[in-house]
Amino acid sequence: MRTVRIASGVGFYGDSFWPAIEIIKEKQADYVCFEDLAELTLAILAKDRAKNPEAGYTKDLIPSLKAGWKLAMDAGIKIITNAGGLNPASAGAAAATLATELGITPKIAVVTGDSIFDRLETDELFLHSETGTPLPKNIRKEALFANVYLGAKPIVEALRRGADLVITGRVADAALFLAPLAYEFGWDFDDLDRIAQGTVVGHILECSSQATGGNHGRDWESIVGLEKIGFPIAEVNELGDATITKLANSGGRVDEFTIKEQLLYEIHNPFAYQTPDVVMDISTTSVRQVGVNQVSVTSTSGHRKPEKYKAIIGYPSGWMGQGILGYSWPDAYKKAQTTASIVAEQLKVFEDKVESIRIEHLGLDSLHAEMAAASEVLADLPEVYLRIAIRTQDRSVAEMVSRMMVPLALAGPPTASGLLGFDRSRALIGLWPTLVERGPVDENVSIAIFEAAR
Amino acid sequence: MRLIDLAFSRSSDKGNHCDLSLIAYDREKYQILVEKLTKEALSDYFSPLGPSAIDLFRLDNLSALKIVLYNVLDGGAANSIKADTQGKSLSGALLRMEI
Repeated sequence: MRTVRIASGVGFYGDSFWPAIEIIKEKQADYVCFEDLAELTLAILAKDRAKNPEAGYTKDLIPSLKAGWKLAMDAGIKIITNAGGLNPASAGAAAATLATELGITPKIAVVTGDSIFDRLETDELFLHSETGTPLPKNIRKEALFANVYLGAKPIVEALRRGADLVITGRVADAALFLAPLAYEFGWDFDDLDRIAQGTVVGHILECSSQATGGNHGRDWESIVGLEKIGFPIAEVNELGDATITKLANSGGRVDEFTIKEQLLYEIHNPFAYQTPDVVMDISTTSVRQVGVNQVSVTSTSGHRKPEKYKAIIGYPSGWMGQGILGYSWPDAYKKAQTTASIVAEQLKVFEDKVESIRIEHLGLDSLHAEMAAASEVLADLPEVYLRIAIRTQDRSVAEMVSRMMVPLALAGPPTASGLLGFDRSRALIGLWPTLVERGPVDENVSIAIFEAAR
Repeated sequence: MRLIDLAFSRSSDKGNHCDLSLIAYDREKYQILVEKLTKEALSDYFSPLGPSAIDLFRLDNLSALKIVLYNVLDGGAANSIKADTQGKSLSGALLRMEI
């Protein structure tokens, strides 16, 4: 039976793309898919685009293409990416310019139509998908982005038109990987089990090294070669049966447990994981080790796709101010507590503007927070870092946290020493999830083909 | 015994909710989890975070459980002032639980 090999390119904006370049060099994939958009990534890209209308796609796109695109073209490997972010068209134009520089002549397809930003000015309600509240006026006015999660179909169409590189904006992560499988094997999107199995493959690959031994909870100390960790590669047949593996000479591990861990990642209801193309049920999925660094994944069930598309609207949600200050033995913890109460006291000037204050101690309770185990060694800690953070709608109030903490190096308890992090203010961003009708979105989806000048 | 003796865990976010996987080391240990780890026990254990609801799903085919704690991330990734904005470390808090 014919198989198609799909590899992970990156798992988020900021991930290393070098493991993918290795896969391309060794010609161990037919498609490499770069998944760049986490829930909040569009907020980062919105800031870039506000400064420059030509920006809004990831800054890693062009460097990664520079590193691997010519090799990929020579080997007949196609690249699919949602790195287009908020500006797939500009990303496509930049890629076309690069192609000329590299001396290659690819067909570049750009998928647009995921943005519904223009519709925020209409009287559509955009009900919050959890609370049912209509989108408030102030959010409509201040929104940073509003994008639908598109499915795999536009990418399938782009591949049909002969694209060597497909650039999209907001597309559901797993759809980037499902699309080449549906295209290669001619899968019908009503063949729900097969579409679900293709989506599972995408879900396992979409976070790159999280499937190959990175961020892995079982026996992590025995995983070797993390400095040269390999990204996952799926070998898939026309039934959708997949074997997950990685390059033989790369580090990390692919076993039953690394694959189960990624399969379950962020899936919420495992019996009904919602994607634009299918509702996926992994309660039937079989995960089996079939060789060294080879795991077979089969038998996922699919149910009919959700009636509507999911969309996310991002909006400014106030400011965080924070400071981090270290204290040493003796009485490290007591000193930190004293400083925290001094700052809390001083912040009372802004009482009604400070919405919340968090006091955390790095190394003690900053991560597990309210769930942190009480420590019996508090009185004798060698050192502790105090973190104070506040939430406010007023940027100048946010900036007061570090203004108040810094003087306490002289004016507060003794031995303040690690003045390591003062974030004067950081913009907070809220996300408004909603559901929208498919029809008007689908009508707006378009695929443009760019060809590099010869 | 603690959950860490039976299983490993990874956690992350979706919006303001924390999503945790609990994957048993083998089938026998999974059976113990199924018998002893109830929604009520989880609800009690995670009460310091004040979740608005908790989901617990069983996956016999994977010897794993999925737990979702609703509204515990101070607004979620880009909106949270917690050090761990995405609840990535709550997997460790879960593994510390005694059953």
